[in-house]
Amino acid sequence: MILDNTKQKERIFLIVRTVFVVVSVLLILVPIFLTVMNSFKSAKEIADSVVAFPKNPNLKNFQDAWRRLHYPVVLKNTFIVTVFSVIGCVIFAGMTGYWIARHDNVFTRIWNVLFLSGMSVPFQCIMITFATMIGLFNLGNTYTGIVVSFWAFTIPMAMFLTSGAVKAVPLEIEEAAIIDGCGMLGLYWRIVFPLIKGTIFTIASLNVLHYWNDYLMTQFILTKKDLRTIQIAMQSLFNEALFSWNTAVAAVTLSMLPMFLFFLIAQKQVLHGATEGAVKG
Amino acid sequence: MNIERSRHRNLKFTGKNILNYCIFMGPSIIFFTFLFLIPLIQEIFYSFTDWNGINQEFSFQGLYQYGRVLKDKDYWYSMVFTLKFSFYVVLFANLIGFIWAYLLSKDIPLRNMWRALIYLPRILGGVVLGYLWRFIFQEVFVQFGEWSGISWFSQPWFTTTSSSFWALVIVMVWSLSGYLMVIYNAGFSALENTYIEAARIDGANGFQILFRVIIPLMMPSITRCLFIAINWAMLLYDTNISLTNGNPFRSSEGVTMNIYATAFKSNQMAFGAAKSMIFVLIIIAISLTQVKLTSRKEVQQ
Repeated sequence: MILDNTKQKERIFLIVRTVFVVVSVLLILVPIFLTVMNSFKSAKEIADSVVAFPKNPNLKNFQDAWRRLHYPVVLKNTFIVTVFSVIGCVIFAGMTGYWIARHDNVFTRIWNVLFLSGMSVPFQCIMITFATMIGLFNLGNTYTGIVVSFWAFTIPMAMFLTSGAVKAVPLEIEEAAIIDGCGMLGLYWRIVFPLIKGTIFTIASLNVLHYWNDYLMTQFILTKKDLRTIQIAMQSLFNEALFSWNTAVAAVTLSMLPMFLFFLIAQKQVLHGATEGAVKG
Repeated sequence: MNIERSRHRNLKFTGKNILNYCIFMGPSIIFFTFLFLIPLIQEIFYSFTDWNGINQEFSFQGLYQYGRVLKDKDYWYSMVFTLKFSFYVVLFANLIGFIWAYLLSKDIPLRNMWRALIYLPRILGGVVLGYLWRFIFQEVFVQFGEWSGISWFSQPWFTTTSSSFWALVIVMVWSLSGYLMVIYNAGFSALENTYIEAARIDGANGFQILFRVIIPLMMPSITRCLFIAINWAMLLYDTNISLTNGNPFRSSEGVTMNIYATAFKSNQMAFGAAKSMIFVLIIIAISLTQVKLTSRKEVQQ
């Protein structure tokens, strides 16, 4: 009898839990869903009712938003910046993280502390002199400028995470490789790197979102129209012109699309990265 | 054992080779130094001068700029705005994130799908997030308010100080809760079930288990999530400009917007530098206090 009772209780709890979670998820998704759905409607339809389904769904709004955003150019810029930033960050931070983990001396310790300080000082604190530095090196309006800046600001955390991953790799493997005559670069790329690949992918997916979505730092560097990234283009689009909601929501939908696809593919890494990266915040 | 040992041991034979140091640490050090360390030192330095960012010359002014910051009403208005905003965001986002994580830590069908969907808002960029929600506030909320008769929804958004404030809070809670949920969720899955079982056998009820067992054991995650939420909320910039852009009359301006305007719109670089120094010191003070307070409550498992 008692057992039956607790079983029934548990079943009720399960139902309550599931209902609560489903309702939460719906609440989370409603704003996104409405934005996407209204992208297929005319301005008048939106003004009449935002929840009604589109009467004759068409891509007119998207064509309009596509043209105004210069979507292909913007997408290409964001893509180039993100790819080069991710690859460089993973290479440099991985190697530095490895070296710091394996060579504990005064030099590496000092740099370790400096890099860690880089994780705790927000960009806002240095943005004024950062902007002048970009001007000084003539990095304004270049891909190089933004990519290098992203490296500088994301290497600390990436280094910290790889360093942690390397410490979990047994040292004997590397020592054996050295005795066999393996050079340091070969050692890292052929032996250590494959072992910490999981962490590297986590870092990479975490940073893809960061680079793709960055606004504050990017706006100092990429201001020219044909160099804008998605976030910059969206901001200037809404700043410059006053237009109706149907084009606006289509622009929002277009700019959400790439990261939704990315999330669909790299979901596991992104969620894992969220917890791993939480050491920094 | 291996893990423990290797943590304190160096790789032999290779440490002295300068070329290897250059290859492995050189690039990181160069980028980091020129784009982070030097600007940081410069910013500290310039906050004691009267540099305007355009002319090359400047003179040393001691604490003059800091005195000006203390008397700058707009700055402290934006500071209070940011602090108030952060308070509500941190409170609600953590509460919601914790509850979601708690529910999802238990047996539930399709758990991973729910987790991913709840996390979804986090992948939107700050600017896009702001414009998405502008549509929701100005069209969806207004229509909903008219339909349901709840006037709070149909208020003219972003034309009053309080509507801008709450709009920002709602958007940031929407965006942040799922992220915190994922971190809390990791905390829950590391939780030892034996403690909860033991408490249940000793006759503790649900509330006692939650407050006496689960929350104390979850303290490390709580410390971490509070830290993240405080930092995210305090540093908000992109959603601030895209959603409210300070409207009405610069009354919904966060500190970053204020610093940005000072430094780049009115070309008072040194003044802006002093403002950012004070801002960062306040953030660090708050974070340190928070970490100290909450990690004191952590228990050893």
